[in-house]
Amino acid sequence: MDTILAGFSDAFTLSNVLFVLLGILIGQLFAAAPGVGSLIAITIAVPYTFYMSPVAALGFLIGINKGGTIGGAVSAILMNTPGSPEATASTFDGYPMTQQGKARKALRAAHFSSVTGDTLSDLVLIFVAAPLSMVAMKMGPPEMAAVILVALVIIAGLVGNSMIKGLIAAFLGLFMSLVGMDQSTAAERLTFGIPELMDGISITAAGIGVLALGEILRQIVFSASLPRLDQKNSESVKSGEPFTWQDFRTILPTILRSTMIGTMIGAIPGIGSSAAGFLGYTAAKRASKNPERFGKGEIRGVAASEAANSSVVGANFIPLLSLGIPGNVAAAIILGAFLIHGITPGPQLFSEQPRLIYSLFAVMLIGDLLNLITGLFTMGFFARVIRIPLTYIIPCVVVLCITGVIVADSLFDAWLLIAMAVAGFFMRMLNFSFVTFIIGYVLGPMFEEAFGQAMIMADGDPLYLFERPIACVFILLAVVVLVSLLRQHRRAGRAMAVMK
Amino acid sequence: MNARIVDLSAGVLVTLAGLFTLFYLIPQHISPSLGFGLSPRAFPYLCAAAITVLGVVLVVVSARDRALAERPAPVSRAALTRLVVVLAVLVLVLALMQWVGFLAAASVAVALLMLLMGERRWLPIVLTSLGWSLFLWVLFDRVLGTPLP
Repeated sequence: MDTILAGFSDAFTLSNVLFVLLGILIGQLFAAAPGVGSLIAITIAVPYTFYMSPVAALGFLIGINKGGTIGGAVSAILMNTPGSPEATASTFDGYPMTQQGKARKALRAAHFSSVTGDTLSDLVLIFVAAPLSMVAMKMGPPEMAAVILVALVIIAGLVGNSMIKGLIAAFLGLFMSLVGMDQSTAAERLTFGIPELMDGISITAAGIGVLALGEILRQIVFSASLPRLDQKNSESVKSGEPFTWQDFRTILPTILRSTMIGTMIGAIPGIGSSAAGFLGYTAAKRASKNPERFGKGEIRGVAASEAANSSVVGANFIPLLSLGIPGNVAAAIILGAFLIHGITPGPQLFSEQPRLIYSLFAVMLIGDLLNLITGLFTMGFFARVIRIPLTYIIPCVVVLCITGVIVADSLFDAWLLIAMAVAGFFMRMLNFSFVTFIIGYVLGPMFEEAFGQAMIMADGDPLYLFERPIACVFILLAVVVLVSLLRQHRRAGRAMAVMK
Repeated sequence: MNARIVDLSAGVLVTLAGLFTLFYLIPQHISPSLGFGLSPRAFPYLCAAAITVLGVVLVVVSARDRALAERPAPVSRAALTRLVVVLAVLVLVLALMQWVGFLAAASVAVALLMLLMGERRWLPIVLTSLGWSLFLWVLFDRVLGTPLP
């Protein structure tokens, strides 16, 4: 109990609360602007956390992640263009509500649903992560290596539309993480005599390059043109029908159902917020007595999508904190930030740094509260922000990416950043999952360490594996998942061919 | 060009890169076993072997997938040309940063990218490029004391 209180008191300092607040505002702003998104914001923000204490840094990044959950709905509802992919299902009923002059009500429904879903999933995380980590503590290197393998196979299969390409991306990510000095023998690997490569390719260059600048390159190359917010829709944000207590009571069962769906999906690595949004929406439509109203401005549709996609955010931390495996790419970037600040997430964190864990939980709850409060004032402001054209935003974000890498690393890493951005661009174009690549890259050192230790323990005896039943089960699971997902992809391909 | 040719080419490229890594990069650029622990080459070999095998699988799968042949290629020549232009701007900006410093190079970057994205009014270009670069320079170089080039 003392540890919990100490952790919470560490979090409740003015500077930490201000950093969480700053993160939330940045997350809301980036997510509201179509074409940028909160993921890009988190990635770019990582190098700037070098100036902060670990709790403030994590609070800041978590704040961006949380802010993004409500910001993404703004352009989805007002312009029929989701600010981030996970808000896609919010357009189905959000935009029709705007057209009916109910933009104010839709935005507020999205806001309350997001914050409720996110807060409930944080509570699940707080109660589930510690017991899960106790189970995970009993796992040795062979089990850990097997768990990472299962996670990579699942992520490769579920993200993107080609299992093979997903696996190639995962192994490319793992391979990229090997550049630099070998952690156990101190041997140089693929440094080509360049001293700057001795520390490997930094997470900032790889993350910002592949995730942020790669996407921005795509937008510049294809000159993404977005619809403009018309005056009538903009005005209905202020003067339209208000959101009432009765509305909240109407959507509460939908929020709770979607939160359950989103939390379960978030706890499984790889599925992500977009799928949760769609599944939440579909479940709400099925459960409704008037399913025909969905797609025509039904408030429950907005609530279902927003609660489901937001509840993924907290649940993504369940595998991260209990196993050290990120549930999605935002969690992978936050894992990178953990490592930069000298913290290795995983089951041992609960026994080695319990105070930090409870500080982390506290900043999450602070973030939920601030997201609720700030959203009351910022949603209307973002209706004006989304009018800023991309021709202004994107060039500024490019310079911000380059500056972030120079500040965190060096000018040499800025060259690596451009190389990684080109890789990110082609991964997007050719459907090689950049999500799997980054997760492979972040998990690489952990996977190699667990694999190396398992090999040493086995001492060259392949039958050793059979002495580790849990590892056997996980490897078997990896094979089963691989085969079933391959079949699923094949069936989907055939179905598409038949449809054509 | 169609999506099948693009996927086939990607598969061939991945396979060749995997073979190059297996037979040249790892033997030439990673030290052999030091006699203790796992060899520094072991995990790279494992990854490179997996990439090579998966590259071959991608070639086979793409060659057999007839539906792919009916889809257009995901990247056109015009898009690639535009990519080269954007990359040239980024390379120029990084080179400029070494010669003339952050402030001037960042201003040039914002201005050129705004032009590339279709902005033609000089006043917004000048104000945005100078204002944003100056803001970042003051924040990092002056306030936070992180020297920028």
